[in-house]
Amino acid sequence: MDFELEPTLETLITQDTLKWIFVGGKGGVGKTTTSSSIAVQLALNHPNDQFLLISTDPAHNLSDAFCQKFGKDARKVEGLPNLSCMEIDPEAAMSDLQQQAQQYNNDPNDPLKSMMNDMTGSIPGIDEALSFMEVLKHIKNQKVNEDDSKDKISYRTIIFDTAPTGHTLRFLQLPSTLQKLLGKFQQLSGKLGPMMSMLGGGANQQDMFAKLNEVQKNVTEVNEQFTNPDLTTFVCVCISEFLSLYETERMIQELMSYQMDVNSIVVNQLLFADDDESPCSRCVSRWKMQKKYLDQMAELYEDYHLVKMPLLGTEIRGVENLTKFSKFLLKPYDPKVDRGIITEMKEQ
Amino acid sequence: MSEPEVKKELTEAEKRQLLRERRKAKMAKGQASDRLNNILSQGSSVKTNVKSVLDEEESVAKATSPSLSNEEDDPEIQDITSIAMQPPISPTPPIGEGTPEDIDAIFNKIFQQQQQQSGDFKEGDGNDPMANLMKMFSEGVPEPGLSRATTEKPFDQDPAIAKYQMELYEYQQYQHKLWKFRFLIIRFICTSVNFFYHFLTIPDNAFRASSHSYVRGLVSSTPVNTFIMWFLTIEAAILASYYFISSKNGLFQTRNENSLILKGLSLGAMVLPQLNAIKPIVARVFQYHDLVGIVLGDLALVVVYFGLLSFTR
Repeated sequence: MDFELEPTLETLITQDTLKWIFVGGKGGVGKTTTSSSIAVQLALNHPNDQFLLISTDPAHNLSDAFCQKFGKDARKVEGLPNLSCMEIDPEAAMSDLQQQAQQYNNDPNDPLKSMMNDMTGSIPGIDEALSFMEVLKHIKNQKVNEDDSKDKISYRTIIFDTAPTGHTLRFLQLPSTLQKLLGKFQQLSGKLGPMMSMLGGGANQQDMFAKLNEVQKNVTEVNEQFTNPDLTTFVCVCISEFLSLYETERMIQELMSYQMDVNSIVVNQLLFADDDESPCSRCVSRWKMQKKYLDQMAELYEDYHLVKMPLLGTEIRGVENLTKFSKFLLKPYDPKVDRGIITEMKEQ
Repeated sequence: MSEPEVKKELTEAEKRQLLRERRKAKMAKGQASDRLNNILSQGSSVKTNVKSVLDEEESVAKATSPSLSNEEDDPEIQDITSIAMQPPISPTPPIGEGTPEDIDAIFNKIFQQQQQQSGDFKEGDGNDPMANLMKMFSEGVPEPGLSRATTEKPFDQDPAIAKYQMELYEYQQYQHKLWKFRFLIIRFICTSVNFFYHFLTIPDNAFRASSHSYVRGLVSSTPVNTFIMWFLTIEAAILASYYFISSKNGLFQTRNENSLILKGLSLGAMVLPQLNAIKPIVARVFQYHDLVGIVLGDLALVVVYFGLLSFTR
């Protein structure tokens, strides 16, 4: 059976079951612009629902994308009352974790505390782990009681502006890693329990492990949602170049191994130089290169929504510009008709 | 919701499901690696023959559990009703299960990083307790009774290796006792033969102990110092043999690993690193203790024989 797959994200915007949308790709391809555009379109198309855009990239850009300061707490976007943004701060999460640990052990001279601080700071992927913990915390705080149902989240959909590929994949491995980590900690407590009791911790160890088990349950619950294609999808963002294409294919395959749904690819920074009135030789040459990879993508990704976005004459910053740019996610960019936007967009 | 809308929703869901099946089918059976290699070749990359993570997972899965399904290029497209009614085949695996982080590698990295950091900031000063602790963890804290040489890292042990190490330790203990017994027999025989030979061959009852000084002052026609000479020669030979065999078979090490004193020193070295300097001295003392014990035991036997002889007068 043949389907004609529209080269838009209309399905994503109109699908009413999605709870989690991840937007990721190699560095510098336009992830933040794309995730912001998706969030804006969702907010515009569903004015009665609330949406949350979270940046898990330690090098946050959301504030600059919307020209508005965001922090670790969700804040509404000016001009879009049903869209909020949040920038996870791993350092703040780490200090929160330390404060929580203090309730189990208040001794400032405890060498075990210092050891744990040093250890946790060294774990590979600790930034991603802390971001994930922050997400879990905020999501847990967002749960509202509606008709005695405690499982309702107040945001209809949460969009993640992720870090470059490697970090994101590590972020997604966390449930598996956390399970193993908890297992090892339990082994350690058995082997070194008496020594740890001697150095510090004492009877609060059991409380600590109970807390960790609770975290693990939450992580498992979120993990089940992430692998449900009706609830979660991953939008790959790339540009029409060799490295980006290879990286995109690798990322798609890796996400497939994690059983995460990927059905949309956004190709940014396209020149569409064929119909230029006075084309520059550089643009023509570059567009020729882009077309080569676009043709390859059309063949590789015939079962995906392949969305082609233009390279504009200015940065896409601010709600107004994002709104203008994001409409091409739903209606394919036609260089003959929409060319004006390249120069019309004003700098914010 | 009206019927056409329900139908449309089902159609959309069915469409999404079918597309997912198609995407999955295109990545199955080695095609994922082919796609990557195709991209690389068309992009004139220097990389060749890369393997996809999906194909690595498949080969692992095939090695562990043989597939019974037919080898077809594309899976059959399932009917939507069967998809909807199908229970999950297996519980949802955690994300990243295919390529999980090696947690032991994570721990080793942490401990090595801590060691390096402590070493970098306090070069030449081996008194940093953190560095010593991390070094201890990374080298492995041996279980009581287990040889350090056979214990690599605590996080690497699995039950089979642990059981093997316990049995190895018990074997080494047995070997230690066996050799000690053998040497005991040899010492007993040599000392006894040496004693009774001189007792029987030296005339005039000169080979006797006496509490009377004038008896001890009598000069014998046959010198008795040959007994002392032989005794010392035999002892030297026995001690050398015992030391050589024990060192070669690691019997001293086995005994040291089980020593409470050395274990206490290891623990104390965590907070007082100077104790590490005296550990080898203590280990050496334990070795010499065995040898000294041999000499004293043989001397004691000679004293017992002289004591028994005194009853014959």
